[in-house]
Amino acid sequence: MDAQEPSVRREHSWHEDLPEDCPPADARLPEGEAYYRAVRTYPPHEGDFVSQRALQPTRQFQVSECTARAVSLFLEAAICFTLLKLPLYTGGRVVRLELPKDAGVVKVTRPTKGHVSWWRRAGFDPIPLATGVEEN
Amino acid sequence: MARAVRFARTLVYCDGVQVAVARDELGQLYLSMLVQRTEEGDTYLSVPITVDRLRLLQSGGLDLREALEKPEVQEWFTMGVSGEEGSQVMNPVAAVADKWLPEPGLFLTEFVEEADRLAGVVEESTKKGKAIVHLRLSPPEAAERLQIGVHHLSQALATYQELVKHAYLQALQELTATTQDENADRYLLEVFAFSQGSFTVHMHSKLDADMFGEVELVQALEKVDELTEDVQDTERALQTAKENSGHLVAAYKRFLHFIAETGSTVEYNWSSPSRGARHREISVSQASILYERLQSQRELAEERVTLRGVFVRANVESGTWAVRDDAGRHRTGRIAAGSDVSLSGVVLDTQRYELECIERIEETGDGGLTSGLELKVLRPL
Repeated sequence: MDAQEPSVRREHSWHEDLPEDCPPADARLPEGEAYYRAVRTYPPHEGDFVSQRALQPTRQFQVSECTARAVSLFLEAAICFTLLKLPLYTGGRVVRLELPKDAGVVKVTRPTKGHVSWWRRAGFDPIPLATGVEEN
Repeated sequence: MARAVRFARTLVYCDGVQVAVARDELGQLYLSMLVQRTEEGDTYLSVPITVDRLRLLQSGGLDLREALEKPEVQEWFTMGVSGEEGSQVMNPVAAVADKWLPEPGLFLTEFVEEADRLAGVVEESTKKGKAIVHLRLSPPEAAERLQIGVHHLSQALATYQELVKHAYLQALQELTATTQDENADRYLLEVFAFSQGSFTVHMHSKLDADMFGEVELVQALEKVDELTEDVQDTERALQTAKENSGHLVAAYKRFLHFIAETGSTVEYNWSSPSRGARHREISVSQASILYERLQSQRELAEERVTLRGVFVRANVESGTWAVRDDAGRHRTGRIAAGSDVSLSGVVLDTQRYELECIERIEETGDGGLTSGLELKVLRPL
């Protein structure tokens, strides 16, 4: 899976306005692999797939503006089930998303284990793809 | 009294900082967790925390709820973060609403990358001057609390120690072509702590590292790594097992059987003062598949053994014999089926011989192991 070509980055239009040089050059196109996300409603709605910036449009963040405009996904469902124990996710669910190439671009970003930043492409709707996951 | 703090380190990140460490101007640390998010900003619940307690939290010895609900100093603060750069102001609160606490059983080790997780084992190794092993066991009873069945714990420790023992003896044999030096202190482990995540046993080498930071046990740990390296690739794992057949593979099989039978994924991290840290994880399905495959290979239960010593008994008719080897150990066996070796004319007690044997290791009904020596080549020395 190659990092995105600069031309790909330029040719994409994004679900949210992104700053210059965002997404980072080493973000890549997904290829149908599975990602997991803790959502607060199920079935999920649009608000479950927006970035911090979309939720808090006037706020300044302690992370970069590019990171603040990404949506957090995880490589493993187990991490998301642990997140559900946090107050902000009380009553939430874990969904699985197999992201196709036209979903945007993704990049594994630390420090949290298996954390992936997802910059969503304009016109891509994740809701029909989101399937609920039960904890083993 | 309100206090000004800055975020010092993110512990959990998901659409923003969920759990972090903050620091005030005097260097006091605070554990902070996001409890409310509005369009204007975030609200964190914070409690003072010492370095030791933070380390315990990060190593899985303390769950997040307990850290926030019962801080060392009974002080709670809320902190509104709307994003201006620099310090944030924390305001004291008298009590904590239950809805602001995480559910029990949330351990930060779940969120930690391998490199960060290994930091603990490296630190312990440096501090103690010994090789350190963290053996993480995940039987069902350890899922949410720091607890484990006695039978699971004793079985895990016994099978792991046995694996390390035979790995050490095998490594030593490869280095010196002998198994004479079996000083048990060199491969023995001692338990010194337990921690959550799922149930982690902290062990150190019985012996200290030498002045160069070397610990003999490392030879065994590296040999175990050799066996577990390709656990996800059964055919490659089988090939490695063939190169280590005999007692070591028998011990490895028992370890895999423990994982498969108890449904407990096992992870281990180890480090020594002179070596980098290593990590391995063996899932239940990997252990089951590999165990069955190893079990089907009869030749893996065989080990070549060379003895040097004097005969103390030799029965020409039955083909049975007893030897006192150069280390003074009494070994017995029989002539291998199909071999043309004869015990006729063997000189007892005064003539030294070299015996090339095959040792066959078999499982007994109670889960133990038994072995017998079969003589294939005999030559006087």
